[in-house]
Amino acid sequence: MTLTRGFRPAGALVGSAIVLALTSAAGASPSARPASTAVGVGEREFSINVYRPVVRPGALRLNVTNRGEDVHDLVVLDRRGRRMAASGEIGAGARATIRVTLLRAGTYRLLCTRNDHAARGMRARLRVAPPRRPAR
Amino acid sequence: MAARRPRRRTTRSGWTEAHVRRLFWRAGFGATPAEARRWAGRGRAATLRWVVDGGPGPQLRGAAPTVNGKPLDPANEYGHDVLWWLDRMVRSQRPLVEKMTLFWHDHLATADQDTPLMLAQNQTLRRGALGSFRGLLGAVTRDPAMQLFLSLADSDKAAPNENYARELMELFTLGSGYTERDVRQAARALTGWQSRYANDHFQGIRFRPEAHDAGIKRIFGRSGRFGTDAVLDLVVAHPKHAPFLVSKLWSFFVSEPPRRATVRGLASIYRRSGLRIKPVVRAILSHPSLYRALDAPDMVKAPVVLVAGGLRASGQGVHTDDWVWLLSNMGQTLFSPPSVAGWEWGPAWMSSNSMRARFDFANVMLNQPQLKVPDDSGNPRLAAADQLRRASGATGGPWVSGRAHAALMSLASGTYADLKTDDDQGRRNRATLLQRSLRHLLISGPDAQLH
Repeated sequence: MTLTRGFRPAGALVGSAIVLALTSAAGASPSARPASTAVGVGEREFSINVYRPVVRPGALRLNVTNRGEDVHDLVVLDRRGRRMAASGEIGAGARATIRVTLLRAGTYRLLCTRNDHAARGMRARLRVAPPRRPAR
Repeated sequence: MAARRPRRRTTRSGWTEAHVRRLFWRAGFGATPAEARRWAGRGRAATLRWVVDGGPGPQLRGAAPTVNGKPLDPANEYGHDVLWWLDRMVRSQRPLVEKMTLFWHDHLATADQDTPLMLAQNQTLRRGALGSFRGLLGAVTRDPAMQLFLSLADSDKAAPNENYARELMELFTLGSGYTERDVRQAARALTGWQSRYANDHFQGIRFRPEAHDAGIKRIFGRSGRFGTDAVLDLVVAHPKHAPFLVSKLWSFFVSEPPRRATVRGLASIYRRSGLRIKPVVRAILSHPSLYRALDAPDMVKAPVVLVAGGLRASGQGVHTDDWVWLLSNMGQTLFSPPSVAGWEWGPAWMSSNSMRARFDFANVMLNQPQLKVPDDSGNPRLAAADQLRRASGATGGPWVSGRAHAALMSLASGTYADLKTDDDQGRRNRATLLQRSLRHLLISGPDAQLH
């Protein structure tokens, strides 16, 4: 999980330049991670909104923004209630990216596990649709 | 004047490239040297017609935006909403529409809402940017992002929430001329909107008559069983409304405060047109005050205007997400105004922190393919004026004052002063450095912050 708050600091320019120089020198591709699908998620008191509620099986990045005033978290459960991924605490106004790979089609539950937040409405669904059939 | 000393291409009406540059910056995101030449030649009336009414052809021109070689995903990737709108500002053939969308985003400020709702609201603002204000106000009042932001959603007759009614009068339409009682009564009239959820997903806003206070209200001295549309009709018919809105529009385009007679004239145009925005904007963009002191611009470019203008001028599209954190550091994150009052414009953009971010912007610009000066590419045989001309050409011919022009020429002239005439490599290195420095100064210098 990656926790971020706000945007990159001013010093990021130097960092970017160094990273660029290193990757260029090594002839490496800019990103070693496999392609993943971004899923925006907004949390607030007391709801969770999933901006891409249906995805295909594969690697996902849940880009979570806490738009509320309280601390929240986000947990991904499969249909049996097994925890597939979780963020840590996400402060008010903060962001977190959760990386998770969901290969099995079906409906997954997203919820905030802090206090009674889920019972008060902080829960949502993410549907993994069956994979596309290859074109003949 | 542009770094190339000005050629005053003037039509018989006295319409020059400087007029075009002023108009294109205030009504949009700047003019390239070619645009300034073309429209100076076509004259004032044709230029104003193109700016206000638009021309034929596609609304967006140029390559679609990408980040890391992939298309934008505005709803799901952090910052891509900002890049999506920035791209429209850069590629739009109707810059005034994007500029007015920015005006409404600030005037009818909404923040902290889910990205898809903010993107939908942005389209509403764009559709109504130059149309009927009453129509736009009706659409924004029903807009889910606005309703959730100002707690109009779920305000019911048992406990009317006053937030929207208060901002409607104070910030959106009147500014003064109403009472606390008017606000409370309007809040009653605005009840009944409710947010809907199904299967744990937000489904939008709907009106539920049973949650609406259908009783008699008294607003601005008039009584009736007012509902949402009646309240909006009352505020736009209030005598304070037209002067309030046209003054706000004026201040978006012109730095000096409007005279009373100007406000009266604009308010009259606004009312006679049936509360339409375009005739008022056309009148403001035609006003001599907009073209005052063409050699001494005095409006501070908002961060997004600086960035979009820099990209347009240098012929670049949106192909990096660096613009997101740069805009944030400069103090303007689109879709996230600091409060319902919007951003503080003008000199407030130029804090020491945000000025540093404007320097960072120049650094990033110089790293883009169109502006990058490769190592060892300097040509020491170029005269100082040619060096400056080359830098100006690459950066889109930005305006520089006579004083800044002299300083840049002095820098260029003295760049080899301490080197021996046979030090070829040293002179080439210095020429490379000079070209980078000139481009940086043209983008980050004091003149570049103003339009």
